[in-house]
Amino acid sequence: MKNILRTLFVSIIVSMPSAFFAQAKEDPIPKTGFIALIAAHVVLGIIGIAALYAMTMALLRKIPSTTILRLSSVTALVSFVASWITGGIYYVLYYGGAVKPAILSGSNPFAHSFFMETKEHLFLFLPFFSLVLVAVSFFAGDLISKDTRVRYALCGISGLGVLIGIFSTLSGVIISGSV
Amino acid sequence: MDWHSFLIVIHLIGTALGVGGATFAEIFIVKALRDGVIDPIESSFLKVTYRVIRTGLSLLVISGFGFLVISRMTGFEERLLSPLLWSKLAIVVIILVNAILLQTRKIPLALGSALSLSSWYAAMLIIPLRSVIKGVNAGFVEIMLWYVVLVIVMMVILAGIKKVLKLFVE
Repeated sequence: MKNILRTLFVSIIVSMPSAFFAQAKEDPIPKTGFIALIAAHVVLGIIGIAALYAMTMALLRKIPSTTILRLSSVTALVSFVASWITGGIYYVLYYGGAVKPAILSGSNPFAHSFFMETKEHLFLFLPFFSLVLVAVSFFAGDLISKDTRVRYALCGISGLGVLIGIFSTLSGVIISGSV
Repeated sequence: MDWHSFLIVIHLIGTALGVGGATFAEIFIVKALRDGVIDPIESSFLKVTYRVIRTGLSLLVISGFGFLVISRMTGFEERLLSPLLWSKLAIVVIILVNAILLQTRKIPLALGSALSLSSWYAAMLIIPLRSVIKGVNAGFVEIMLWYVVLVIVMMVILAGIKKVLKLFVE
């Protein structure tokens, strides 16, 4: 099932103009399309983490602003999903063929075998944490200021999201530095 | 203007806002706490200053990671594992955690404000001082130890300033 989905996903993506997203060979300096993807992946991820951080700080106040909670949760969700998509395309079309073999055969193979593998799985929490935060902000916004348990629970989720985001970001630096 | 130059401009603007904002936040807090109470006007000045600091930090982080993407894509990957870069990243994380600890009152204001001010100046000065740091072959641990020394020195200086100002009020 995983192979079918992967083939479907790749076939949709490679139907894009091939000059822009040419299948990566062993080229350590990627084409413009891949540079744009990785730049988008990084920037969107950081915006998502910043939004979760803003949400954490807002929830630490006695009376959180509902507007800030809604805006930051939606920003986090959209950013993380977009970062997920751009990162996924980059991974499938470029990283897997050109970067991963270079890292595994280099001086820091743990950069892929530990940091990338961990990042691939850990980041999955982020879009779903954001989805929970969006849902509660929009459908139970009043409850957040009235019930401290709800506020602290949401603060825990957003704070944990920030920690996972920071770990993912720093892992990305290690991975890129190990090429 | 190429991307690198554009990012330098954004990074410098972020530095000015962040370091300047952190400096004035400290000045305003010291001034506000001379009488032991932060009144609404003083509070509004502090809120605006914190907003400036957050804007500066956002610009710095985004432009900073822009530099990292450029380094990766132009074949300078070794910069991403440099002790200077990792010290800066650690200091940025300390700034973020410190803000949360100050907000939740889990850290004394004296330590929190010293940490904040030292962190901003340390992050600003790490790159200009890189020739000195590389000259003595300082690694991540050595740089962070100097950072701890800076925090302690800053705590002593700020405590001294507050004591002198208190004498003037009395």
